[in-house]
Amino acid sequence: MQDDPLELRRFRREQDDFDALFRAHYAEIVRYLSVRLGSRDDAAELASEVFVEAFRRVPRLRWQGRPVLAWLYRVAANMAADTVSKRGREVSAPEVAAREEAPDRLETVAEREALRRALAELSPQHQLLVHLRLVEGYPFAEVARLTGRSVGACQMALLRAGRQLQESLEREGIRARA
Amino acid sequence: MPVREERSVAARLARVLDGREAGEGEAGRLALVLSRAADAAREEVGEAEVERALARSLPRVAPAARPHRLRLAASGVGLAVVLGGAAALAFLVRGGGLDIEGRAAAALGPPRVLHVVERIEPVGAGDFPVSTRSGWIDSDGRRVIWNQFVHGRRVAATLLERGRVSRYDIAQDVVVVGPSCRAFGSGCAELVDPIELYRRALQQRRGETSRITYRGRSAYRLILPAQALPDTARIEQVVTIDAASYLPRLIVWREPGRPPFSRIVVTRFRSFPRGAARGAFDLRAPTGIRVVERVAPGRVLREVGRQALTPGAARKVRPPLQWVGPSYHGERLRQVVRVRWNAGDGYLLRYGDSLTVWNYRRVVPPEVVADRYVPAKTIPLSRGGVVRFYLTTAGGVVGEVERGDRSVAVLGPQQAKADIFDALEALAPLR
Repeated sequence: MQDDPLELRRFRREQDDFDALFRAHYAEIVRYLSVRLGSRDDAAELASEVFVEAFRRVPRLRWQGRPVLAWLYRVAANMAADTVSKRGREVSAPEVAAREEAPDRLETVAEREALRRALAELSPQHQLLVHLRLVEGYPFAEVARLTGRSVGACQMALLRAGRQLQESLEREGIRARA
Repeated sequence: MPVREERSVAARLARVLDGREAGEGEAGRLALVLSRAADAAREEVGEAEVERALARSLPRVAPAARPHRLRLAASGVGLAVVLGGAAALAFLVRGGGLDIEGRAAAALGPPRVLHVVERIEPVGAGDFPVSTRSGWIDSDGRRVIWNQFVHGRRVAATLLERGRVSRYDIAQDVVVVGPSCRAFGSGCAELVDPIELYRRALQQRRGETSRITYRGRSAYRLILPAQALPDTARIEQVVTIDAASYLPRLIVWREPGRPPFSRIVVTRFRSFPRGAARGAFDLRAPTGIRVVERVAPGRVLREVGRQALTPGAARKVRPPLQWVGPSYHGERLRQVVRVRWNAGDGYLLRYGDSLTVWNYRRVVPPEVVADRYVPAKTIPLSRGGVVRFYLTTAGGVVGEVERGDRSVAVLGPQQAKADIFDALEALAPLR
């Protein structure tokens, strides 16, 4: 496999331009951490920590055929795991809005929270795969590159993640609506 | 469901998600569930929020935004100041008539069965997950067991009992058993207890002592030569001990010329009479687990031949060889060589002069045999399993992992541990 010169140039550019790196990837790191931590505010705070670390470390990374984003996700995953470990529990239950909702809106909120709880129950690896492929919409080839796994392994893992999500939702008596 | 069918459903699910196939059957149902879950997780993070977060982060990173050379020079001056201060304090502490090393040695108590719990942290945040090691050490040296945990789950265990070594790799679901430390590349270096090493270093009475504050409490910092034996790699221990109990709280190993990669925080240290430690030295692996026997060569190891493999031949090796891809840090894979010894064979993958990957089973290649006197560090990998880092007698850094029935060692004479760690994370089957 040849190193892609375009990818290498992009890697160098992201090493040199912290602002551009931040603007390009901060939002997706927040979204990823939000599911991992079960809290949007904690996610934003930790994402900032990830980028402060990136400022120190990314300029010294060596090109290994993978984008800087792969490093960002790895560091975010490790920091999230440490945060969860310090809390002494896997995830906090997401807060449900306390205001009054119309009946159909309530059903949506309940389903949404059930889906988020089911996502939070997935293993960190499965959460990352669902996030990369489904939330961010990266193609499988890119997901494989970001996670350092083969495309086939990513597809198998996503199948297992889907089944687990389905089981969790069925336990709560919720069927995902089309 | 058979694996082939599983793969077929997984591929169909991928096609449905890619929009290349209509969603029917299980693949269709799962695609729907996954999409709904993704919708629920798709938090809006607007441009304004990104800009605000960037503005908040910039003041924190701006002070460090100096030219690299200047930063190095500044840190060198800072280090010199710290060392100078430490030397002055060491003089003052000694001048005060306190025998810190003697008190620290006495605090460890008489040698019995020790239970030590340590937290292994990366020096660079996020480099690897924080893990905990719990060790039981019989001070007669005949029994040692270390269990390693990540987020409360055991990931590895190593037992030395009557000279026999058993390694339980939980991610690989295998116990590798060897009749002696020589059956493993890292030898028994991972079983060297940092506390025991610290105890030995204290006995040499060659440390430098300074008074510091550690986590708000008064403490001493000892800089000790880890060992001073000929033909061994040089490392230093920087140990922070509590000023009241004189027990160690933090141990950092420094290898001259290499940036620190991890540090050990001692969270528990207790001494027990032997009778009270019954059951502590059980490896506790599930019944029916795969056990691989390693054979340490009982005679002098002799190389009997080398065969360069073509890329096609290398891909046909079963089980597949582990490699770090067709190139590493711009150095292309130059050769794959099957090396035959009188007691077995191994595979050498050479990436220029910067990196070598060894795959081996029965024979430990002489190039990766550990320095017997320098402890290894076991650090969890993000994809499961642990890596054992150790130094060779030549001072090269080696990271060794178990992959199925084989051990894989990545050796980089000039690499930092962080680089070796990255290479190990990139290991994949050569197919």
